[in-house]
Amino acid sequence: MTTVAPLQLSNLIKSFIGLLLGLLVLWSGCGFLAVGDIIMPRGPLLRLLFLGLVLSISAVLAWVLYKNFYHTVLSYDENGFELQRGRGRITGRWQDFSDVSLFHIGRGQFVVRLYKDEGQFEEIPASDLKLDPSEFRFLVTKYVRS
Amino acid sequence: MDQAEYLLKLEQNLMTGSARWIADFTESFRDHTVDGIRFDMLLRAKTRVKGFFLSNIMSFFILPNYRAACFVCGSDQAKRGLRSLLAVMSRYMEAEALKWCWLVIPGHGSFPGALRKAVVRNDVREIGVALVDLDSQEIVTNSSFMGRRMVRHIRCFK
Repeated sequence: MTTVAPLQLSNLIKSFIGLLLGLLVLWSGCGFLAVGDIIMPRGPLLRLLFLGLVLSISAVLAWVLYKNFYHTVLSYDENGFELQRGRGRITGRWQDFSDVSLFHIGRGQFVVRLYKDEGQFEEIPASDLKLDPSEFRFLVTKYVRS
Repeated sequence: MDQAEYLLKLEQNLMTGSARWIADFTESFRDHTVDGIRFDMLLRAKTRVKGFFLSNIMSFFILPNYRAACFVCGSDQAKRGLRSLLAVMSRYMEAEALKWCWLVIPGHGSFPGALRKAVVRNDVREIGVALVDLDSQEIVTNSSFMGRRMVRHIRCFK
């Protein structure tokens, strides 16, 4: 069985920046509510320590957020696949699907869509998995039609 | 250039290249069968493109919301009868509520005179048809607006 689980740096950075800004806004808001000003430690060393603490907390929370919502692991062989995205998990057998398409979700990102006979579909995020979307589509098509 | 390579380039050009000015080709099927006729490639599109916040708002208010498609079919199939291909496409357009379609027929060597004439004389306004000679890189289309419009977007030989 082949397993693909690349680190999606863009999603990790997005989480980190979002959390960092969120924490800073929260800290400022709390300061304004408590004393009517942004609370900052006195002295350069304490300020550096404070900055390091905020960055560390953001990094840890970003990693937790990334692992729970964005990190994608795909395992597949000629019989089927298992896709885990964050906490969600999808498993499927290639023979349950009847058609395959390459779908452009925007900004150059592609997913491979697997259609069932009833028109329902599952999506494998080929670009997020750092796979060549076109090549992967051909591979999946081969599995589905064999 | 062989046909597989051309199909890849055409797919790329339609989905992420210059054709995005015409429509947002989002989905591509390979070896897709419609009414018993096998098409090498079928791309489905919407004319209302997606983007970031302001682009989405502009797109919503300015652009029409049509659905469209591009069929690609081997020259062997087309030589057997263009009329049957167009009939299948028309039925598909009706079933899927498509406003317009392109039909691209790539092949090696010059196309038979009868096929060229049939393409040039095709006067269905909603369907643009193009014969693409992969050896000489010549493109022949029908004279409708759709036909004339498609040339620069299917000319992807490099």
